[in-house]
Amino acid sequence: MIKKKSIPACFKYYLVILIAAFILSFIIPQSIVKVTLFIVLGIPLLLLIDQIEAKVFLFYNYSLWVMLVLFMGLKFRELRKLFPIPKIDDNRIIGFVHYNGYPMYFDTVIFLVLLLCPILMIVLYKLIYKNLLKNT
Amino acid sequence: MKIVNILKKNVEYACVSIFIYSYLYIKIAYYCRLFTSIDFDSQALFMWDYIASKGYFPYRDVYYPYGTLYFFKNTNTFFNLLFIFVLSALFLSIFVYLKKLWRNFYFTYGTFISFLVFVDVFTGYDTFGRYGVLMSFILVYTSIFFQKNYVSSKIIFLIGLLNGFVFSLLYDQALYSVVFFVLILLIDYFLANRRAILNKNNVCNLGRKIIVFWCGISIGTLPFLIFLYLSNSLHQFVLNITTVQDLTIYAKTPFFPYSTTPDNLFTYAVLLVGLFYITHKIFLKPSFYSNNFYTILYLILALLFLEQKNIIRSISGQLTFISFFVLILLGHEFYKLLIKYKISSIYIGIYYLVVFIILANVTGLEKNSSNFIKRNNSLTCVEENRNFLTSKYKQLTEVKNFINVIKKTNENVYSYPGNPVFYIVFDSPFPYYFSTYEASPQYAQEKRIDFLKKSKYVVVDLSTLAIQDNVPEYTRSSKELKFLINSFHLLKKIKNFLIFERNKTDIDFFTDSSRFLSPELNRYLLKINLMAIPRSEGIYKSQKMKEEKARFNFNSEITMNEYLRSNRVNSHDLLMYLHVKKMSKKNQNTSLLIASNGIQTQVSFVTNQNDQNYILNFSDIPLFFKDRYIDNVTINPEGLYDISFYNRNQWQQNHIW
Repeated sequence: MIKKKSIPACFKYYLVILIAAFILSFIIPQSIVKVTLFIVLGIPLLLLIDQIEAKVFLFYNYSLWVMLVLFMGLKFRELRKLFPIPKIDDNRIIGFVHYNGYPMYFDTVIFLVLLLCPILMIVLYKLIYKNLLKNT
Repeated sequence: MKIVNILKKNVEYACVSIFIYSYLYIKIAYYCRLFTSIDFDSQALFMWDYIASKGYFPYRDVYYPYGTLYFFKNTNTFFNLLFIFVLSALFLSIFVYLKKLWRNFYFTYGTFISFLVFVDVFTGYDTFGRYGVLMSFILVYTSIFFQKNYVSSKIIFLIGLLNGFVFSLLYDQALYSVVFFVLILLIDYFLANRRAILNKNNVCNLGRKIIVFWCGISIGTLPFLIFLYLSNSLHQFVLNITTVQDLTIYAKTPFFPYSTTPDNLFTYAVLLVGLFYITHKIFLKPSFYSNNFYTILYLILALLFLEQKNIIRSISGQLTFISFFVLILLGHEFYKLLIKYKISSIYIGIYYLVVFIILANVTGLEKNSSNFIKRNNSLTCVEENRNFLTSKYKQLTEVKNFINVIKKTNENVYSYPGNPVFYIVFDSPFPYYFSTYEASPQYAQEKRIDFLKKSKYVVVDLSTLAIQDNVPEYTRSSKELKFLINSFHLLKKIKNFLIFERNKTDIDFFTDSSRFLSPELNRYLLKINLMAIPRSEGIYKSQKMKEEKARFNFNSEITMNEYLRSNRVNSHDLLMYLHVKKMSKKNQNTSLLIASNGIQTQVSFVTNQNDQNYILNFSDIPLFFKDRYIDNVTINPEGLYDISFYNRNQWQQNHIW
């Protein structure tokens, strides 16, 4: 845990590492550097979270989310079969979805589930956990 | 004197406005967009410029899904300058917002220039001019609503008036802006009256604001509506808006398989971080919400709203500038935190600069790839592009030269399924929908057929017989293709173009010797794949269909073919209903080999489980565009089937594909 007083000094060293990583990006293969750079870029964001309990909760929350994304990626075809194929209406429109039997609203539902899951978890955390703390 | 005083107070804004306008003027007014290929999108954009240069009007003379500003900006000097003015106003609104946000010279100009560079390199001014309108309106709304305790009716009226004016130029963006204004009104009402939402006075106040807003819009839109009415365009304009949902149906393509592009990943990352920040602020750390918080909230909502468009059909590259701006605003929130930790502004500035350079160089965001050439004083942009394309694609000139020898002056040429560049090459009349893609709905196909009926020659591009998304034309534009095959015969083949001439007598395409000019077209028409269409029809229309009595019923392929051999069964208005009891294996393609008078056609479709129904309409199979007797039907692979034939009644004619 970094002390608040030493954060300005640490930030200076962090900048040096970031710039070095960026310069190295011209030498090391792109894909490795991209991942490294994004991880390094995100380090200052840890300053956003100053409550230990929130850090633990957020770690579990986003870990679950990553697992959900991987699960949906692996079971994409099976999930697609749960949705009905589109109906050809009276305008007789034949587009990609009708021709290939791709469910019309499948993408919208999955997108909203993936985006809103971590948010719902935070809301539930606030409603359930915090109320429990109040009562105890 | 008053203007001088106002200018003195706002010298900085005036200088920035002049700089932005001059910069954009040099970038836009002196250059023509060059269309370097004849792909679908380039041809559509070029065709609209050509139509505008000829003095035609959008909505009335040609299908046009955007606003009048974009229709005329490349061919009309006034609209070109107006476009530059609109862009300048958008950039100025962003500058004003950033200046009030940062209150620091270096961060204000640093973030503004980075935004300008981002739009210049990645987004392009055409895209920014559209979606930037919504973004700018949101900045204006949040500045007005969350910096003042009370928003007067006068201001709400002026906002409505401005929306009405923008509707005349960019009606789609104005509609989005109206939706967001009403949303902000409602949220502002809720926040101000949390304890008395249903109080009569408060509800009346809200109602009054909405009415004042609509009054402003009505007055702002009135001149445009009057102009549309006087130019006989109002009816078609209203029809275009009311049928926009048809566009979402035929344009929809899968999202997730193609969603891992750098542009999409960038937008998701910003959405996730933004949503986390908003939820964190509201639920975990409730405190005073700044103007910036609300701006981030509404821009995130705007991004979510526009992502629904992206989910329908990819516009990922057009949304990244909004994501980038949200990142700047989130960067400001982070900046406040870093300042609290006593980190120097210089180091924060260096950090943001490195972040921007990494974003621009490492993330792989798609760069704006439009080509521009300096305007020629003697030639218009349309003429420059026509000369360029005809010299690059020599086959266009070959087709033109061949047809010009045989064609009379008043005879029209028609291009199928798209390639509107031929109307430019021939300088000839064009249909309202100039490709089968926009004309996917039945009513639009009929409009194209009306134009086709007046045409003597048709140019068919063999390479685009699935004009978009690999959907073949015998499914997308079956009605139009049927009319073409029945009314025209093949005359000549030039490279990948087939030239058809109108029949003088009744000619059967599949027995006429001219079809041998193009074995590819023959194969295309005789070997068709209907994919999921028969299954979709079977799922949704079987029950209604079974209310009618079947003409014939067979419990096997053998009994069906015995009947067909001994009886003359005509394909006229005939539907085939196939119930698959048992397939030899799951997830297969089933194909029917249908023979008629020595010609055979193969019709394939997807069958993926037992006990399912499939409906086929014979009159939509190319071989049966003309009525014929069915001699034999072979089903591959073997399995257990119940087969019925129905005569198409009125309901089926209207509802079954």
